Amino acid sequence: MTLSVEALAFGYPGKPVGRDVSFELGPGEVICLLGPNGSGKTTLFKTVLGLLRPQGGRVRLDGEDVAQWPRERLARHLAYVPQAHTAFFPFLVRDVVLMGRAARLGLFATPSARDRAAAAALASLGIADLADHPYTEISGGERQLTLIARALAQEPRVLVMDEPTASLDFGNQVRVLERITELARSGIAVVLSTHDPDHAFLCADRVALLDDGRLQHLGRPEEAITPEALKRIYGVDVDILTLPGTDRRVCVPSLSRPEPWQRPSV
Amino acid sequence: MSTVRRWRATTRFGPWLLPVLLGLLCLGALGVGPFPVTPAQIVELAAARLLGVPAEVPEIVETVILQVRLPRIAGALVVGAALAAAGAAYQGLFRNPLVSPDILGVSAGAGLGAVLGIFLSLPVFGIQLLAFLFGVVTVGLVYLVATAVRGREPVLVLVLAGVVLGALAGAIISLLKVLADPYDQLPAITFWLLGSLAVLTPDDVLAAAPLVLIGLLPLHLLRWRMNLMTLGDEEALTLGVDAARLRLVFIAAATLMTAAVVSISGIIGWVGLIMPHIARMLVGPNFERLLPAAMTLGAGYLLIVDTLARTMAATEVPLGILTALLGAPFFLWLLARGRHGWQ
Amino acid sequence: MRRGLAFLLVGLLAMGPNAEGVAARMVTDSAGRRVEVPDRIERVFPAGPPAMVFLYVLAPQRLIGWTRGFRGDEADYVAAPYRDLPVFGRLAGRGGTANLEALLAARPDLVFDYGSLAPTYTSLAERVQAQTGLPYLLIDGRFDAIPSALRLFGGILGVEDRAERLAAYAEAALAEVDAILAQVPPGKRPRVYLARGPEGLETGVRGSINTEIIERAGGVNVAEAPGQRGIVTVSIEQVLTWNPEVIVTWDERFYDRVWNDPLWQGVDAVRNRRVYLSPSAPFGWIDRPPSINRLLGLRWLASVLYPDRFEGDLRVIARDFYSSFYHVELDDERLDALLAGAGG
Repeated sequence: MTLSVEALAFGYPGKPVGRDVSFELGPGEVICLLGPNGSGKTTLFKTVLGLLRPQGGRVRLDGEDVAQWPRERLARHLAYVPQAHTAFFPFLVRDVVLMGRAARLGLFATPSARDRAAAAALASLGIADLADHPYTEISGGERQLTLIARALAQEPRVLVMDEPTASLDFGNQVRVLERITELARSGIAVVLSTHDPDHAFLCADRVALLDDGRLQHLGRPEEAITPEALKRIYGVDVDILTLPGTDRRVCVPSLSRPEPWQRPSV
Repeated sequence: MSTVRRWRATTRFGPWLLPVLLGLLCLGALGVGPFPVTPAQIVELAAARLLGVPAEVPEIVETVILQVRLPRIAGALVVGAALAAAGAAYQGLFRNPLVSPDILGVSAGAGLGAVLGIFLSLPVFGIQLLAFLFGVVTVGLVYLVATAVRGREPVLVLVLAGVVLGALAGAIISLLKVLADPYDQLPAITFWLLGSLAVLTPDDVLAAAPLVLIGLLPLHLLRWRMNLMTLGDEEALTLGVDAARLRLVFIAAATLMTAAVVSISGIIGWVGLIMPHIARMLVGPNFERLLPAAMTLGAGYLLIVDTLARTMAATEVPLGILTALLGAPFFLWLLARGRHGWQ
Repeated sequence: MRRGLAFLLVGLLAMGPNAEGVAARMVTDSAGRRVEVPDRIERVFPAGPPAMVFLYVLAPQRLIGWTRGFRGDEADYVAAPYRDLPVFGRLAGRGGTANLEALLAARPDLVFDYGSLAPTYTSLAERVQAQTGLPYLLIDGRFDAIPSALRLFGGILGVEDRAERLAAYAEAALAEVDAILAQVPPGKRPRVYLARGPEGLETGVRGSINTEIIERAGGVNVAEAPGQRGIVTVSIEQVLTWNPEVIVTWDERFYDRVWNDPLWQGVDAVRNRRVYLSPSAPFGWIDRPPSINRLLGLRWLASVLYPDRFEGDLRVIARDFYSSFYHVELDDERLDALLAGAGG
């Protein structure tokens, strides 16, 4: 399934945030959306997901404009993974993941606790043994994985992930990135937003740089993430290095050095 | 993990234990009251009715058991269950475990209707009808106001509109209290606003029960979807759920149930707030289990309180007073122990 | 400058309550308070419904207004000149609603209340007196004090003859009932339930002012609730347990329903058809308000509680009372309408 965003203009009623954003996402592809705070990443995602009306342009799935699609139909193809948040009620992880089945079940249906798709989603993310824990009693990383499992329970072809590694510890960040690569390998298209250029290097097929609501660059990571580009959109100096003997790149900020602190002479 | 173990234990034993306890409570309630009735007479009467033979208890005893106590017990069960179900629904809809069925103003509106009916010296049926209509219309108005405002936070706008309209209804009630005849009307108004099952007749229960069932139907059919409403509108939409329409259905159902019981029992607080809370502590937040648990607890609690209300003294103690006196300290104790059931 | 001063002086004089008719005298009210009142009292304001009835009975021409409006056909039973007097609201009792400015604009010579002499009411009297400068009297509203209250207030108002006639009637009525009661030991007195409201499940507890007429007429109020006062709600089961011999109500809706209501058939009073509808126009016979109107109710209650011992035709008694006390003549048609249900 291919997601096409064509010349999308997005924003809130009376308050445009961005325009002229176009990209295409095919099955198994991962696009990383990089951009500073306030660049419009979240607003763009909300518009793609149909939570906001486009102010111009369109969003297509497999060529079809999704603007008029009923909610359920859209949810069967396109799933959203929000940032892991605190929950109001202590639902079990199993029940949280089961909520993802809403688009696939009849109006009055109640899913059985052993719903296969949900169980498979849990297993594929390696958190099957968390199934009977309350969502409120697991770690931030486990919560993020739970939300990914919930999205997978929708059996989507496209995943939209909003900063899935935010506020996770280092180990969990790596684990989530690993899962994302696995999902892409299984044919799901993924577009995720992130603050960390290294994450883009690690898992993205293409990188979209978003600044001020406009797409500054869309291309492979090594072309898109350059010190000039990062200086332009983040305003900081970085060095991009290639690990010797591989084609893996890393991005290292060069901190501007302040004057060394002088001990006052006695 | 003890939380989950508790839920599992309750889910295993609850479905048969709770109803059995409730049944025992009903039998107990049937046996107490100012009129002298012996357990033997109750058994005799039940046996006679089941076998279709005339009973050998005095007619007056039969009247007391079947026409006075039984309808009142049934009423307590219906009212308690309805309030708790509505409370559980609203707590999920508004994502707040401190919400009661009154939040959108149905009780204030029903109170206004009833006070108006008393003020106009309408017969009892007229008072109940006015209470029901005003309760439903008030929530309808709240909903209309909220949709007209079209804020980014539909739930918050609903709550605010409910608070404002509820306050307006309260002000008009106070005005009517001032204008009412202090000999004839004011005591009746005060008593109604405090809630009571003292003047309940079998007809009242028969009138309210079908309305409660009608309201219960969507809550039951959509009980799994209610879980999704706790995610907030945006996430629910991305999961394929038409949050706004579902919310309308749930509010309509809960309002119907609440207005129906408030019109026959007056305003009884705390049941719809605390019983879903305790139920959540026992079985967890999954609405599929929460709904029946809350209803059972609500029915039992109100039965206990009403039995107290009619046996504590020769005169009736308003139910609203008792539920508040019992409920508020219990709630404080819950807070102090940190067992919020929602963190 | 001098003209301005003169205006000021006149203005100051006009503000005092004794600006005209300055002759005054000291009187003592039922609470023992010594109050200065004008010699000629033409305009009197009653502070609450009991006082309103008392004044209407004793000296209606001094009445400047009612404390509450009349409902339905009650106004028909009020003498024509007084029917359309303005309604001011009440000063005392449950929730004062009278507007003090409207009261002052009506320029009464005197304000009085008829009822309790408890400190709450004496302090209210003092406050209103201090605030408005109007003399405020308290008259004892206890049932047995009716003759002395009539005489005291009649003397103050200057209608001694009328007061004496009414007081004599009251004394005779009280004596008549006492004579009956002397022959009936307390154990044999009928048990009575006062049914209020359309369901009949509101009542007054024994000892409250709303039901004291029951005991005075020789009945026993079944609603005994130690420690409670005033109006309460009970359950039908409680009424069945009390099983009163007589039920009295003034709610027509209850009276119409009770005969066919299966729940109430278990009560002796309903089975023996001893449920009585108290007339209530223009004022209730046994309450509403608890004032001198209860004198008629006393005789009526005694007649239904002791039908064998009570001598007198209710129609004659009622017609006579309405004529002497309420200043209206009742023709047969109005009398019939009034007494419907009073015979059970």
